[in-house]
Formats: sequence, structure tokens, C-alpha cells
Amino acid sequence: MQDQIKQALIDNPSIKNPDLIKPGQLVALRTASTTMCLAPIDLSETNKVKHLWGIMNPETQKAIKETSPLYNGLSLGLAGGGTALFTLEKTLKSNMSLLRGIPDAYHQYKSGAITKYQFDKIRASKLNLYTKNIGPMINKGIYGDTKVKNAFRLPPGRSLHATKSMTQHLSKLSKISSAVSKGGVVLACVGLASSCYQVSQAETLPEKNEIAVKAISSTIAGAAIGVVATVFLVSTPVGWGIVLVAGAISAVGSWGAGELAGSVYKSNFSDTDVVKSLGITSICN
Amino acid sequence: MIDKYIIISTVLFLGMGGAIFIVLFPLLLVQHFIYKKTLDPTYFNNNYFSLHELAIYNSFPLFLIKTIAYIRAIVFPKTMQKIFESKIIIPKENKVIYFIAWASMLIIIYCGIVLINTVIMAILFYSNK
Repeated sequence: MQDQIKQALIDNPSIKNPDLIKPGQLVALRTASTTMCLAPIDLSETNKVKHLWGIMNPETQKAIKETSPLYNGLSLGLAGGGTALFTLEKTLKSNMSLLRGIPDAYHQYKSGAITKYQFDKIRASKLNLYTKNIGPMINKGIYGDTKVKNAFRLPPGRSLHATKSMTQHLSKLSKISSAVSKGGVVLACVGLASSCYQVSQAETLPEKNEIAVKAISSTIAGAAIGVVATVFLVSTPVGWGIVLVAGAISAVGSWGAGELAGSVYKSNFSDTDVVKSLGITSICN
Repeated sequence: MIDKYIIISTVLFLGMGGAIFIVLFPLLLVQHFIYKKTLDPTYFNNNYFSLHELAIYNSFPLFLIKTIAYIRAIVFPKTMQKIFESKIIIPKENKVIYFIAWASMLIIIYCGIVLINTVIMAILFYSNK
């Protein structure tokens, strides 16, 4: 009998005192035919996971614990990726005004306002500045091995639709930029959902609170950095170097704010039950 | 002393979260609809925005960038002269719009200050650990 109780305690790490089992508490018991009891029909998903965790062998539990930081890093990376994509979208958008001037210059040339030589100079200077601003990586990603100049080359014959390829190209860039921006929102939501999942999976209340504090703080910091950066960048076309720096600052800033908040919470506010007071437990279940 | 500073900074940070999600975003949405009626007919065209901007500033969340551009042009018109060339509203004739734009800009400035304060707090917190 004592051996069976010891075995039950090993199989059920949540039971600290074998004389105190609460009503509704799930207990894993070994029988002759099977290694687990049949779970009640109304067992919640959380309890099922806890139950499965209880009957896992220690090696599996250890492997899962060792890989759990990956999930944490993934959610923070997703939040940072969202802000980085936002700044990438900003680069493309803010530099579009340079390209917009090329079809306009072409119409000026056709109406006789400027000469062919002047148009070629305008086109070359705008394309060079655009290529420089968006940088080699984005350039390669959008245009591949062909150069940006090919998209803005006048077709042979110079028909009435000479600027058609240019407007098509602008439309393509517009779609890429819009998709990138939507991707940022999706990534931010996925990051929050990932944190929510971690809160639901955390075993202890302090762990749940710490994850929630980190997620909330990095979201607040990400939103604040996004708004402040927009005010600064909204009036000027920015180069790829600035975007890389801004993207890195946004990603590291929101991640760092989360980590800082987690540390501050542990050292100064660990008595506050954040998940309960904000109703996060019920949302994330 | 450092504990008090951390508590104050935490309150400021949480206040920033509340200010953004409870006050600023609803204000931006309200202003988006106001500007859609008052400023868009005059300024949301190819003279002031690129074709690309005209295409993407119609959908969420990108129209918020356009709203922030208008706010900056209303509050600090000189800094947006590259785009709008002159003042886009006359404050005396549009007191409500001017007030809301200033309120939004003050929240954004508050966010900037809190972000700087958070960096200082992080340095102090980790150096005293």
C-alpha cells in the first residue's frame, strides 16, 4: 500500500500531501492493465495537459523544459519582427515619392516643358537616390538580379502607354508595402497569442504573472516606440541604414522593456496578482 | 530612494500604456474620421501624397500614419513644410480640431519622455542589482 502511495506521489507531482486531495482533483493511478486512469468526460484542456505532464517520464519533462525558452524567444522575436516590418514598410512608402516623380517628369518631357537630356538626368538622379535609400538587401529582395532602372526604362517606340510599366511597378511596390504592414499587425497578434499560450501553460502563479507582465510591457513599449517613431519619420524619406537602426531599436526596445518589467515585477511587485486582477487567466484558458 | 524611483517609473510606464490604448488610439480614430471630412478633400491627393501613399492610407492601420502626419502638421506646421507647404488649418477657426491634435501630440511627447525615462530606469535598476 505504501509503495502504491509513493508511486502515486511520483506520478502526481501536484500532490504534496497524500492525505489532502481536493474534490475534483485529477489523480493519475497505475493499474494492472493500463498506466493511467480514464479521464472524466468534462475534463478541461488545461487539466488534460497537466495530467499528461504528470504521467510523462522525467526525461521527456526535462526535454520540454529545456526547449521552453525557445517559445519565449519566439514570441518576443515575433513582437520585434512586427515593429521591424513596420519600419521596413515605412522605408518603402517614404521613398516612393522619389519614384513618383519619374512618370511626372516623363509627362513634362512629352509636353515640351523639359528636354530629353533633362528627363534622363532627373530619372537617373531619382533612381540612384532611391536605390541608395532602400539599400542593397531590400533592393535584392524586390528586384532580384535585375536592376531597379529596368522598371523605369522607357520602352522602345515610346507609345502613349510609355509610363504603363512605371505605374505597374509602383502598384507592385504598393502591394508589397501593404502586405508588409499587415504582416506586422499579424505578427504582433501572433506574439500576444503565443504569450497567452505560455500563461495558460505555466505551472505556477508567479510564472504566469511574470510572462503576462513581460508580454504587456513589451506590447506597450512596442506601441509607444511605433507611435513616437512615426511622428519622427512621417515627414522625411529615410534610408535603409536608418531603418535598420530604427527596426533594431524597436525590436530590442520592446524586448528589453519586457525583460526589465519582468525583473522589476519579481523584485518589487511580486505580491501583485496581475493575471487574476486583469482577468488574463480566464482569457488565456 | 531607487525603489521610489522604480515605483514612479512603473506608474509612468503603465500610465503610458493606458494613455496609448485607452486615450491615444481612440483619439486617433476620432481624428481620422474628422480629417476624412475636413482635410482629405483638400490634401489627400497627388499634390501632397504619393500615389503609393494614396493607395495604402485608406486601410487600417496605415491610415493612422496619415492621421499622425496631419496632427504634426497642425501642431508643428513648420516641420511639415516639405509636404504641406503652409498651415493646413487655422487654429482660431478650428479650435476643437486644434485642441484634439494638441492633446494627441502631448500624449505622444509623454510617450517619448517615458521611453527615455525607462531607459534611465533600466540602467539604474541593473547597475544597483
